[in-house]
Order: sequence, then structure tokens, then C-alpha cells
Amino acid sequence: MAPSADSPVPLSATQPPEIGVASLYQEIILSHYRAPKHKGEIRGANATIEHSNPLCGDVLAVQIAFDHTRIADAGFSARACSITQATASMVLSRIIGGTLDDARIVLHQVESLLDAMTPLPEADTALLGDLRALASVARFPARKACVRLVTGAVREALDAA
Amino acid sequence: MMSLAPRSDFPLLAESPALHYLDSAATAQKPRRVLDALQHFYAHDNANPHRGAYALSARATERYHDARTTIARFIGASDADCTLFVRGTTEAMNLVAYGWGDANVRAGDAIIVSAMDHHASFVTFQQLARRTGAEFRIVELSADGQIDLAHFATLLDSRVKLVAFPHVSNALGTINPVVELTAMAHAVGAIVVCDGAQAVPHLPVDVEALGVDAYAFSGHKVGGPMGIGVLWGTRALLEHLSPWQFGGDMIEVVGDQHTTFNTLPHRFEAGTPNAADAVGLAAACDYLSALGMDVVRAHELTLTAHLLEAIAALDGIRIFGPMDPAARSGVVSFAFDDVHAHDLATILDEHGVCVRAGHHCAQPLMRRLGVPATARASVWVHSTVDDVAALVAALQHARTLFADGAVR
Repeated sequence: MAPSADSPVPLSATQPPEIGVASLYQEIILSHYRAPKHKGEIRGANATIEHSNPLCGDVLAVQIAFDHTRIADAGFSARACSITQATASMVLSRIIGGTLDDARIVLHQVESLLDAMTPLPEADTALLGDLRALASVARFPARKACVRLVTGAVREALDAA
Repeated sequence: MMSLAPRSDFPLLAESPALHYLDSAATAQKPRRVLDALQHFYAHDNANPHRGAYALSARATERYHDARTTIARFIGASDADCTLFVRGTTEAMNLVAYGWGDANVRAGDAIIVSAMDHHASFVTFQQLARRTGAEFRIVELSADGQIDLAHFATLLDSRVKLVAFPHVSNALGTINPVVELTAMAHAVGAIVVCDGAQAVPHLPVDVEALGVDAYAFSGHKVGGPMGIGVLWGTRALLEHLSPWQFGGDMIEVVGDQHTTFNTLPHRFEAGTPNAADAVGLAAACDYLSALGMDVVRAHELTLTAHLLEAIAALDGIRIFGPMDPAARSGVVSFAFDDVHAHDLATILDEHGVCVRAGHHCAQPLMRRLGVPATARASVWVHSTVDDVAALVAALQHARTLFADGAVR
């Protein structure tokens, strides 16, 4: 049956699933999910923050150990989906060894990716590295919360420094 | 196997031929007949019921009254005045908790819910217990997701004032033995509140034959509009229920210091009634009655048996709830060992397959299953083997995508 004149775009995949899903589940994301970095408890944590997503029940805990203005170490534990776990792995990998200020910029740049309808200028993603792969999440509105679960918990841990 | 109802009965499905909607347990798609009834009410019958002394208001009142009668008949209620309109199952549960519970449950009493109760019931009665100082008891489930009757028997004593359980579990699909559970609860003098949200759209329901004291369901899961539902109660219970919302329509005489209240059902329907949605819900009941609820159940039973068999054949899948299709409704919850329910739902969405992923407003149950979330597929009158085939193909794709290398 043809859509009626006032109907919006039919609800169905706008491109073949192999392409659409593959853009989200890129190898870089899947590899961080399969073999996450910095998963587990760390010693000497100054801040431990647990956040959950009440809509889905996923839980993420982030620990950070500070050395003055630098992040000496960080770790996470999660009962969460691949996007949350891969994001946590990539974010912590990126911010360990750096300053708190740099870490805040990383979080901001990650969140900017989620709302970017077009690719962001190089300068706006300069600190991201592997995290640029998360740009594809912008196409999956239901999954943005999976990334924000990480950025929210890490930001709160930084604020506790 | 054909669908029981043609897709063309559902405007949303008709405009999206590639959509495989397997989330009817969350909300049902709306039959054209329901949308037409809403449109017709607002276009031809709209006035404030019970208010105006003019023909149009009388007509609106009559439509509202007729809707109540139709809906009462659909659930086997002989007394339409005991069929109260509420926003949905959640509000119905809260009405019982505040209207009956606060006056009848005291410190030292006990309340029982099941481990498979939806938060609408679980949290509502947990909080009633906290307000009153009553003990909150949870009846556990057997390994295949049925209420453990032996455990239930051990929880029942003369302190128990209220027992709540779902007719059908929203997360497991289990159909509970309502008559047997109710008889056990009544034997110790407790009232029984049954959440029928997942039963009324899928099974023939006769609230009087079930023997419960109160029974609730949500209109939107039956194909009716969002924002309307029903609390049915025995007259004996409802006459001991205190109004918990006050205002227009629910009063008899308002004095300066004192007010007397209207009769059933109006005493519990403060403010301008949601007449249009009641009319829409009645149209949904008429739609299902025309199909025949026995026929609806038979269709879903066949399709659920097929669905269970098809997904049980997949590697690494865990299916929750009874494996005997006759013991469950058309709801099938499952999880892969190594693919999180959200990742599944995203991949399925790209295949045009809609399923629910999450805790299904049943966190106590998820803890007992040992999973943070499950994916849940649910069927209804328009569902077909094609929908099941699309689900299976999408699940295989998800499995392939996540299969390379071990996930830690």
C-alpha cells in the first residue's frame, strides 16, 4: 500500500543494515569492547563515581587517581552495552597521563560529536584520536545516552578532584 | 500462516510495509477503527459530559456511558458502574494503594507481591508498606519463570491484607493461575489486585470468573488511545475505597465545611472525564471482539510456538520464562551471552525490527534472572511468520557482528 500524501518517511531502514550498523559497530569500537582497556579497580583512587541509566538499567563506575593537576590512573567497571564499554575504554585511555583541563576538553569534544550533523572541523576533534569513531553515534539517537553515561560519570569524577 | 488481522487495518503499519513491529507488549499499534472513533467523537459528539443541559452534552454523556458498558462487557464485568476509568494500570494500582491500602493496611500487617510484578505494582505496594509499616513480602519464581505456589503458601497468614500479581508477566510472558492464587489469598482474608495489562489484549478475560477483587489494564496496549485505562473492582471493594482525587464530577453536595460524594463510578473520576479516549478504547474492544478473543489467543499461541522454536535454535541464546507456549502469552524475552540487549535492539532496528530492550520496568525480576536487561519480542493480531523470520535474520546478523574474538 502506498503511503498517504501526508505521511512522513516510512519507518524502515533507510540503507542496508550492513552499512548502517557497520558505521556504528566499527572495528575500533568492537575491539575496545572485546578487550577493554582500564577495566577493573585501580589503587589509590581519589574519586569513585557510579552512574546508571534508569531507562535501561545499565551501570557504570569510574575511578580516578589524581596527581595534582594530572590524571595518574583511572579505571572503570560496567554492566553495560558495547557502546558504553568501548567509550569508557577509549576515554580513559585518552585522558590518563593528561591534565584535568585536557580531560574536560576531551569530554566536551566527545559530546559535541554526538550532536554534530556534519563532520566537525579538525580543531574541534584534535584530542579525540580513536574516539572520533563515536561520530557515528549521532545517527543513532537512542544510543547517545550510552556515550553520555561515560562522559557524565568521568566529568563528575574530575569535579571531585 | 497469515496474520489474523490485515496490516491495512493499522494505518501506521500500512504506510511502512517493511516495518516488523514486535513490541505490542509496550504499546499496541492502533486500528483505523479506533482512530476513526476518536475523530468522530471530536468532530460530531464533543461537549463536556455530565454538564450541559443541551442535546450535544447529553450525546457526549451517552457516548461516554456506552463506552463504559462496552468495555465492561469486554472484560466480563456485569456491573459497568464498577468499571472505573483511570489513566492506565499505574494509576489504577495507585488508586487501590491510596484509596484502600492507606485505610486498611496497618503496621504489623503484610502485603505480598510477586518477583515478576511490574514496577507499577511492585513499587506502588512497596511504598504502601513503607507508609503503613506493613511487612513487604515477595513471592519467588520457579526456574522456568512461574510463581512458586509452594513459596506463596508459606507467605500467606492472617497478617496478609493485600496480594498483588500480574495475570500475565510483561517480561516473561508467563500466564499465572489467577483463580488458584486468588483462592489461596482469600483463604487468609486478603484482597487480590491483579495487573491485567498484558492479558486483556491477548486472552479472553472474565474478571468475575477470575474471582479477584480488583483488576487493572491500560487502554493503549489493547489498541486504544494512550492515557486511558481501567480499574475494575468488586462493588464490595469499591464501596470501601476512599476517593483520592477531588474536584468536579465526583461530588454530590458541597457544603462550606463538608462534602458528600457521588456514586460509583463518578466518585473516582474527578474532573472532566476523558470521554473521547473512552470512546476510542471501546472501539478497540469492539475491534478485538469482532476478531474474537479465542481466535486472537489461538493465533498468538501458534505464532509464539513458532517464535520460541525459531530463536531457541540460535547459538548462545538464553530464553526466559516457560518453554511451553501454552503457559505463556505472545511475549518472549531473551538474551545472547555476548551481545547486550541494547546492541541487539539497535541492530534489529536497522533491519526494521522493533523489539524492547531493557529491564521492562521489572528490575527485581532482572536481578533474579541475573541479567541487566533482556530483549523482548511480542506479537499481536497483525503479526506473522514473516515478522519472526525478519527477527531471526537480524539476530543472526547481530551474532555474526559480535562473534569475532572473545569478549571479555
